[in-house]
Amino acid sequence: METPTIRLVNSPDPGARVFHDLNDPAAQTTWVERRDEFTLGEPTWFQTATGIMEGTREITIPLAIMGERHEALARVSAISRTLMRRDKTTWLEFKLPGGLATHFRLREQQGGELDFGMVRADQSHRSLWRWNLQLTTDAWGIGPRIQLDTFTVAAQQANMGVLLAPDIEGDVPAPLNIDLTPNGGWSGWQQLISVIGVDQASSYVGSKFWVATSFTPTSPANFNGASIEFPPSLGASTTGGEVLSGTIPATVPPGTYKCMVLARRNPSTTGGGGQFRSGTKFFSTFSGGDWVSWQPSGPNDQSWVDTGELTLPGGLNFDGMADNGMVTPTLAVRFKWDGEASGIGGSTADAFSIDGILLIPVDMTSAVAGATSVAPVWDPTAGPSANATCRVDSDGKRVGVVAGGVWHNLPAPAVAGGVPILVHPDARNYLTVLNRINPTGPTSSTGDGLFEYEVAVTASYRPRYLHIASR
Amino acid sequence: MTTPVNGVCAVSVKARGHWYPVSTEGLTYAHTADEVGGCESASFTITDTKLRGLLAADSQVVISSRRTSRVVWSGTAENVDPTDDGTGLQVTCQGSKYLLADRRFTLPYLVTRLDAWEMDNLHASVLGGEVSTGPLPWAPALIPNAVLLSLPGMVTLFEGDRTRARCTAFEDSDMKVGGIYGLNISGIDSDELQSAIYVGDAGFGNVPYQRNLRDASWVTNAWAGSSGEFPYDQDKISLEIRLEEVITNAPNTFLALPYDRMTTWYGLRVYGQMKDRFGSNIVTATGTPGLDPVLVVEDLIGRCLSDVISTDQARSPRYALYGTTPRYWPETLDYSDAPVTPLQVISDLLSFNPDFFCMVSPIDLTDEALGNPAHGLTFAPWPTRPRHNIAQGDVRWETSGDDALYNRVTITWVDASGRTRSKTYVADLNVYQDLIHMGSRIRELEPVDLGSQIGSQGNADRIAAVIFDSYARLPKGGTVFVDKPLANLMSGQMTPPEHLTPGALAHVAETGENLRCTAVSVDSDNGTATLTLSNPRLDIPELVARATRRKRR
Repeated sequence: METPTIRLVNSPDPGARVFHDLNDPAAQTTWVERRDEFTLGEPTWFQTATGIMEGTREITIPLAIMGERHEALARVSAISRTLMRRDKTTWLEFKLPGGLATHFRLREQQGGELDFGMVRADQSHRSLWRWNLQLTTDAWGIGPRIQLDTFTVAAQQANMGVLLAPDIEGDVPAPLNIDLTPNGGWSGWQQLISVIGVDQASSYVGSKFWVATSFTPTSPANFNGASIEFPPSLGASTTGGEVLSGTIPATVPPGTYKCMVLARRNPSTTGGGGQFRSGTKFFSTFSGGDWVSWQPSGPNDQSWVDTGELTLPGGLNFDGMADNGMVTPTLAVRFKWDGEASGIGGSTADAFSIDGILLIPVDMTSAVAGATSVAPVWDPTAGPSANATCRVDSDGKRVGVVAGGVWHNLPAPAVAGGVPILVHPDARNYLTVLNRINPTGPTSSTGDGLFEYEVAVTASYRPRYLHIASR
Repeated sequence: MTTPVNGVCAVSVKARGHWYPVSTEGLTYAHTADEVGGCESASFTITDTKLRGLLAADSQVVISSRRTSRVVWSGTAENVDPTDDGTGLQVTCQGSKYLLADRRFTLPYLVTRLDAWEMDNLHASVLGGEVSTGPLPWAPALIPNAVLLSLPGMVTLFEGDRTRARCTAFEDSDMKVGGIYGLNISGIDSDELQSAIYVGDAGFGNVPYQRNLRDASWVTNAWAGSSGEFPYDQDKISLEIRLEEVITNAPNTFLALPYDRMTTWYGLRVYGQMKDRFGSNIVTATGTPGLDPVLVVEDLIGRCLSDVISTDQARSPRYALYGTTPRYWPETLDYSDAPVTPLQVISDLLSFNPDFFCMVSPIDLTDEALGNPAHGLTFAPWPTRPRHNIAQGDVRWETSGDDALYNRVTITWVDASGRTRSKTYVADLNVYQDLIHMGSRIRELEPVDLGSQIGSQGNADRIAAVIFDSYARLPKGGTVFVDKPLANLMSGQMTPPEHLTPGALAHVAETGENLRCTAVSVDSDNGTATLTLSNPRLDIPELVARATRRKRR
């Protein structure tokens, strides 16, 4: 005979403390009766544009309690006390024999007031008491935590987006916990972590990074093979010169992307800053976003400059018009010196470099939902130190430093974007991790917008199930 | 029970030194570009219970897009109350634009009132000398108000005897003297009797800034730093008439005629020493009768807001960008009688220049972490090219609460001599043709009082024109509900609803018009935005209230 495990526990992890085992016929105290009232409920939910879900289900468990009246009432009281725990989370564990456990998070104050009216005696058996325990839980149940393969972001390399796992389990998007652990110190104090899930059939292969050499510098023409550099003479331009343009490969699907420019102030430059503007070109006509400035504070400073969002392949998606597929899209970046900076030092021709361009998807026609992203900004004097781990805890909705496996009491970073970060089942999920977004200082010895040391990226999630019959 | 929704935007709050990402429901936030705008308000319910007892009024609040990690709104908590069921916190916030309203300064930008000039008894070395102000009988018709300094008659005068008038507007203020402009007419054209201007401590022996002024001398282009002539960082400026040497061909006991013993200053304007956004003195000369409003905003950034407003010109556009854009330069801008907030100064500038808008941008978290000023301030002309593209049928046209037409207004102000003046203006039918159907009907607006801080004939004329531009025309406005990315006609990109901001023109396909987008409110749970389109009417009650506040002080 099948005897499912139905327990109230304090955590969805193995080894959790068991408050009440509700289905233990062997103990002859409390068990679940096979009656029509038993149901794991039907989930009701809604989903926002980023895939974040909210919803509940009503679970009814017909309990039989054996014992004298005072013993049964004491049992009901004990269960109700557990259900009414404030500021703590209680889980309902459900597991069929041979299956995997599914945990439902109880909503706060479930059970309501202790109601003796809920207790009724079975007239045929004076020591058997029946109680339909009704619970409101999250719409989904969660499975055991799944650890994804660790991967590394090599030092000095732009991360072009990493496929997290070929398959994400579950029925609905699940929060992803991410740890970033550098093999050395942190030279950056603002990161960007973004995940998007795309259709299995999509041609998308991760955030697209181009080294500057793959673009045609339009002004000026000096081009050293590693990056595009600008002489101070460009400073005379008040409207900004176009400095890069190039064709976007067809492997970048239609959608909205965040355009990041990897900029660097060169060693011989002693001051000044620049403004960037990215956009698309239709023949020779440029259209793009607003100017965004970057004011590096020292030589060699390098940062990802967030120039805003681009809609590709270009053209406006007016009602009734298809995406502009017939025009070959062209990406262009414009640049000008900051007219109010203290001036670019000397007359060196290598004042400023653009090392590359990165497109991070915000939303794509091939995406199952919009991206979820988070950008922690640490106090640069009190951020994570060497070998400490930056943890994005999507389950606990917090971002901070973990040292020695415990949350460190460093001031938590300011957070742009938000947690949870989500992974999507039945989709390919790509993660992009960047270091140093728009910082103006302080600098490291190499002033690196890329990770100065190799960074280990570990991620895990608990799959979420709306339908658990097959598990 | 409160349930988290966590829509397209995320909320972080700073409580007791720590930032907390929080789960919310019912998150809405609003930006405006009407009056002084920018991040205006926000409200949400925090469903995390961990912040109970931590979050309080004035806690920092940042709202950002989950998709792009871009900060879209910032401000501070204003009210934090438990929800009815006790499971969450209901939070209402005020936006970063109120950074402009939490501080006060005394700012004599452009002083024209004559009662600022007083007899400087410390340096009036001769008994019986006199300083008087007001309409003078021999004044030129165009500039009737003057400051008159005279030496006494019927007494023996010696070399160095003088009478001096001191401008008190800058003493104990937050500005230094930056320049002076006026016409000097002296009674006698001689080397012996001279007029002079002193800047700074005008003790005996100090060298005057200008002396040997003769009849009909215009003092122009006197800016701190110009040609190194006008001294920096002085809060005193004085006018003087002085007997330089004993007159050889006349009795030195008295000068023959009364007007031989006096000097008169007409049309006096004393400018504050302007700063740029970096706090450095602006040395640009001016000889114009007013003060450039974009220069005033630049000064406010450098003088009053340097801890909160970034000097980054991509976020706070430079005044130099608007060099040729037409704008009205107020001919009086004198906040020396009582401290004002930067918000009120900018609000006054916008009253004169309804074709400009002002917005305070959300926080930049990188600058915040570094302790740098972290907000942008845009004071700019309304664009002439549309940004938002509003498709056919998307506008819900609305009539505003007050759509009546007015053809008359009375404006009251206090002129330079301290006299209360008023003038009734009548809208010109040739200009405001919407009025034609009113026939002979007169509908008069509530009177507007400019007080003395911004009161002058020219300023009143300007305000009247501005008022008629909004009240003698039929208003037009509507709202647009946006539930998907909106085409940006300037960038060629699609803008998601949570990134939309006002301060832009919206092209309405239905009518072909370009209307101002004056407000945007975003509903994060549903990922939608509502745009308010209008050519807003100048807020008359606000003008009146401002004037009333001044009187009360």
